[in-house]
Amino acid sequence: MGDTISERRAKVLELVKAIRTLPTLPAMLARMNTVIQNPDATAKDVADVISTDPAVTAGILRIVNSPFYGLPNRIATVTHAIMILGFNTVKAIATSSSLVNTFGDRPKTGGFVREQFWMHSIACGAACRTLARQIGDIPMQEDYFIAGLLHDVGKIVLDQCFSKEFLKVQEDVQKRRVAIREAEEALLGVNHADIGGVLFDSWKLAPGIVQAVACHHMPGLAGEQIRAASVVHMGDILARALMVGSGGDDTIPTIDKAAWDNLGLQKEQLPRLLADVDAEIQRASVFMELMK
Amino acid sequence: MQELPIDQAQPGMVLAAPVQDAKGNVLVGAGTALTAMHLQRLKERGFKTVKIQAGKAAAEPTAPATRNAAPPGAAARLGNAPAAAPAPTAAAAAAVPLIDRFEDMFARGTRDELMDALRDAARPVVATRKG
Repeated sequence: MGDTISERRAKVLELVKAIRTLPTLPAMLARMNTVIQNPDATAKDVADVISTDPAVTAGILRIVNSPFYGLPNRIATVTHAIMILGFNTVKAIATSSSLVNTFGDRPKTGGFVREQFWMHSIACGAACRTLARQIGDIPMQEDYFIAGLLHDVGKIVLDQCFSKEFLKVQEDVQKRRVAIREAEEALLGVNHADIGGVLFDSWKLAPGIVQAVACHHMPGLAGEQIRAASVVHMGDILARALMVGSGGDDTIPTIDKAAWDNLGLQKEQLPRLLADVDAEIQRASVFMELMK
Repeated sequence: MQELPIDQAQPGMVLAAPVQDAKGNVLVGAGTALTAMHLQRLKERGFKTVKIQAGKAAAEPTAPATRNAAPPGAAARLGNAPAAAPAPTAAAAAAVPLIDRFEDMFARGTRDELMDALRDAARPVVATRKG
């Protein structure tokens, strides 16, 4: 899509040049993605790679045995999880578990309350997963969950790599009561969504996840990935409407009409949808426990 | 409806017609309250004009003129002076009941049919939560 996205990408890359490197994709995930691409890979091959990271392995087993999956029988090994849930689901769980491990102790600066940040992130992921079921995109629910869970990863990059600027952004949010993205744009010319998109693109995550993160405030600009971006846009708004956690400001973005139309939702569905999202957020609390 | 040069459009104005690219893809839907970011990106993409709903600009709560003023309810609750009340600190915000922060958040956001429907649907869920 258009020049704007590539222009913004160029701006982010210029900004990022000021630091040495972006955070790197955890090595285990990189190896896992390579192994899964091999059509001859067995469940054991994939499980062997995942098992090299004990924290992620423990996280996967906690998640698959939690109400988030609600399986009737206890799963004891990653191989067993792959046989029951399939490669794609376990890949998604390994990705979320690993990235929660990697980033779970951040952000650190100023008024950013880490628990509140992650509660918002998990709530957004849960809302996206619920939306996937609501709109009939069930095969996409794990990707939408990851995109929602990590939609604000750019804030972590800002916190980690541009701490001084990010503190100023937070002061501006407090002073003017604006959305954090507006304060970021005012100070840096780009926002956390742009930065998150560049990070995940450099990690070669699925295009739907990359664009959903990059365009969650402007889903109309997500091109072919407008559906995923619309889900995350809406998931963020639903999580904020339910007042779960905090994305760093106390504002509610306006529902983008293009996103709303893309999802095919009706106003009358909102009460039921919000109740479903609220229940899903409770089930997703296992992700909060992973960080403790 | 009024067609405005994009340089004269202000955040908070509501689109009367969708902004579409050359292929007819809707970039920003009709009824959207424009933000500064929308305007900047549309300018970057070379759009020269936008169609605005008449009489909607000044009343929008997201208009810059009203943006810095905290809503009267929040200011009174926090004991701040009503004019140009500073934003609450995290600690002060935590002391305000969750449902009041909820109402305040929606009051400062865009007010349209859809956002009102969202607020009304979320309110009973938030009201039952401890905060």
